[in-house]
Amino acid sequence: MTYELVEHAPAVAQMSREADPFPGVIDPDAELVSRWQAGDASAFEALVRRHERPVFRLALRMLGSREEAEDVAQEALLSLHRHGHRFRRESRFSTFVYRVTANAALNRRRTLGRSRARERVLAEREHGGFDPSSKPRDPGDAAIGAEAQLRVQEALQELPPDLRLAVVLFDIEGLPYGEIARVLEVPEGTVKSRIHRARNALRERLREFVTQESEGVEP
Amino acid sequence: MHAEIRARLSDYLERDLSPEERSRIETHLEACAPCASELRELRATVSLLRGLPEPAHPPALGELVMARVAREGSRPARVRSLLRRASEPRFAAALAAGIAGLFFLVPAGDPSSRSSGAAAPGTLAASMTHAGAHGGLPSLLANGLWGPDEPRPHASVAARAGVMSGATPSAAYSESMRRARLREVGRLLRGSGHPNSEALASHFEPRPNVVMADWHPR
Repeated sequence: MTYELVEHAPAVAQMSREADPFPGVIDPDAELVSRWQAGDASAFEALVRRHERPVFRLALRMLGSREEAEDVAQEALLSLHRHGHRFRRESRFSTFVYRVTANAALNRRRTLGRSRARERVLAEREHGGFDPSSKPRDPGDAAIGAEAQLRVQEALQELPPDLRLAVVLFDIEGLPYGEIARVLEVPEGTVKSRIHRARNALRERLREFVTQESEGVEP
Repeated sequence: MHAEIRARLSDYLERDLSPEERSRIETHLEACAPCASELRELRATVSLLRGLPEPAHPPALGELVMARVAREGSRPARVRSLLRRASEPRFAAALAAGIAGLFFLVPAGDPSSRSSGAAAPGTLAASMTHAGAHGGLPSLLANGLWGPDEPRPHASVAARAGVMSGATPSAAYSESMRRARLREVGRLLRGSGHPNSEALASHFEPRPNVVMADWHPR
């Protein structure tokens, strides 16, 4: 299992070079990060508690398998601990967390290979490992049915990784364009283009559900 | 014109356009049914994505991470670095060769260091290969006679070869696990169909006062 992108993450150095990437924005994790970097182990535990959910969620949406996602989430959080000294607080800590998680998930995906990754997803689906929930992520959104959840998750897995990552970070994690650009280290224009291409590809793959949903919706 | 409009439909949905551009797209959508239909489908796609529920969170994730952090923290930096390097691809071949070497050494060396002498030690490796062809034994060999938290008898050899695989040399040796695994080897050998399987299996009956942790390859 390799985590070379995580272990030698160029993103960390890149973030350190950025001049004031969040002017006027206070990082809500700043105090905990300071305490952790000063040697307070309990501060790291508090950071883990705060970020474990988005880390697991991103890993799950990127890999499609709960088992793999749990493993990758652990590795990503552990990588934070190993490389925390390289984080110089010149970007949001959450950006750093997303970056490390995305790299860990992409590396795992590469290690697994596309066909094996798909086998894992199908095996979990067959053995009831997939856990469709009726609880909407955002109370303002209507939860979609279990079958639609499965199809959306499968359609996501069929996207190229760079498109999948962009659309997951934007439409599922709710990150703004600018932060996604920093996580992916690409210009904002590239982020927008990837999101649009990903949505179009998903629209084609989810046509049966999309047509139902779009009926009666005003343009 | 249509392609240009369609390329901006996500920006339109996200209200990421100047008022002039927005107005231009709206004028086009009023007159163009296919583009308007594509916008509706795109909006429905986004709605599906945003309607994905919060997945059930693994309850022990944080605890597992903190337990691993505590374990890593107790290891010297040099050992941590070695463990990380052992997981890198360029060490994979050495890792595989090292593990294979250890498992060849263990069966050849083990019986001769014991007092029962029930079977010729030289035949054991061959019989284990034979049993492996019937399934079961390969996975046992892959996992080894030792659990993840138990010290390997040849841990120092493994460490020199860069073959540390997550074992914790300081962990307490688990006698009951060792005995259970020995019984499993015996069971697999009995079912292997080898002419000397019974004699070989009896060789693996766990006995008191046999300390496998002290075995060394010859």
